[in-house]
Amino acid sequence: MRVALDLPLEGTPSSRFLAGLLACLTGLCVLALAIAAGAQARLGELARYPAMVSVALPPLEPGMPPSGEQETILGLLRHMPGIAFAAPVPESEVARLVEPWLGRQEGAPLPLPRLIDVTLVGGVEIAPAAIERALQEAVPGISVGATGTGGRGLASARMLRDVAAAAGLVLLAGYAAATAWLTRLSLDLHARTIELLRMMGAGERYVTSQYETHALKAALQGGLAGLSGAFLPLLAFQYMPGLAGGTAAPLGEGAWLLLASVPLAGTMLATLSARLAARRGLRQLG
Amino acid sequence: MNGGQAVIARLEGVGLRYGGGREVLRGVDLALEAGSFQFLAGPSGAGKSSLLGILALGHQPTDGRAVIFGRDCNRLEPAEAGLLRRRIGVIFQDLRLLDHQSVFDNVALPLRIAGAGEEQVAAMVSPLLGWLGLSEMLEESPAHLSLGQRQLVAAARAVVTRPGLLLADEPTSSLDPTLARRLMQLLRRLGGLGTTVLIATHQHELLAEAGQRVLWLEGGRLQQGPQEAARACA
Repeated sequence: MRVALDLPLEGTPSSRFLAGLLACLTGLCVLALAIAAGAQARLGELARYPAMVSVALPPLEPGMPPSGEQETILGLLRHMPGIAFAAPVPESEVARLVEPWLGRQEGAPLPLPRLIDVTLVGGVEIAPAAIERALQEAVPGISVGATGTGGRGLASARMLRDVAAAAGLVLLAGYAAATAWLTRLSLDLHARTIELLRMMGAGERYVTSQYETHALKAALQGGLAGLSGAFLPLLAFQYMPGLAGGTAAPLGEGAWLLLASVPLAGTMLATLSARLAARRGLRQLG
Repeated sequence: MNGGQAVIARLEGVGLRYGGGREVLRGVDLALEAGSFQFLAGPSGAGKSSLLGILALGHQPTDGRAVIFGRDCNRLEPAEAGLLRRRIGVIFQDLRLLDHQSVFDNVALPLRIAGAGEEQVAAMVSPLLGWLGLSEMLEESPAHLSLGQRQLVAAARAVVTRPGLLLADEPTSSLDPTLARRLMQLLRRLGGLGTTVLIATHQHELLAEAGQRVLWLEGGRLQQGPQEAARACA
């Protein structure tokens, strides 16, 4: 099969520029999607380890009988969506927790807050402040704080995943935009040769196929170069997930397949974009 | 021209203006019969290339009507125009060779555009280039050839599909007498095979041989007949 082009598109500075640009875009896109996939994997891990919060009721005045506030709060918590489990922390346990700072409580004990341990449903993210606001009406002065994983970890991983995926999509859109722009420039540059082809009976399909073939070659070339360039950082990312600040986990097989398909997706996008830009440009040329 | 032959190209009151500016052609009436062999002469700037451009479907007349192979050029769909153009061979005055391609690929171009397979391309291109004395240069870029050789390549590209209508704009202007005779021989042979040939030229030696088959274009108007032939040869 003959793949030489009638238009002088290959080996030109703009052709090399296109291949180089697509290589950069591929490399960046692969890295962005790797980060997104890593963050998604981290989210999966976090979902397996539920987050915990601790609710602290104000201490009772010495000698005051139990007020029933703790039961009220427990009742409210158990009916809140996203909460798996809520249980009061025994006073002896609270005393043991503060012992390293306050020493053993002899005689009249210091007033200590009454604590409730709350376990959230796995993967669910509820801000402690939101729980606190919901409980303030029942017991003014109540406070809620995060004590386990999740919470900030979930939010960071989610944000990282969304930002990285969006960046990947923007870079893929860059593929299409760069190819369309260079195709349009090339149409103007080679208008005379295109006119010659048309004078010989070449139709729109014939001329657009020249640009498609050129974009296909440049995108495959650039895509493979970009993937190779991204390979080392990907390996580092795989074996040192701490590089992403603990918000991403090593990639699974599916993610590797997704990353390997980026040059192919980019090539299809570039080819389609070249075809559409060439078709539109030819119609404008008349 | 006698009336027995089919007319493959007809111009009726054709006028042409570029960008609404100066009128290049005015009221041109012309009928080219199948298999006819004619010359188009006239002073520089008379509109010869523009007239060929209309016949090659490169320009649309701004006035009048051009009917090529029975189709009104003002009403052609782009796809239909493309198909008609494949039946027309053009030797451009500025040659328009593709220097990034080989001589072989340049000549093969119209065949490939028409969808010919590579075997057919080789069977048609190689013998033609051999006949024109270019068989040693098949893989050369046209940029490395002399002007005369380039002119032969351009001619070969125009005739390789055996078009129904061949339009040549000064095809022998850079050829030495031997090569010019060889090219004219090729064009006449095509004429003998039924191709209609119209050659725009300044060259008196060609016109002297042409006799009554000379169309004279001056100031955008076309005249034809013995007086015009005599004027062209003067």
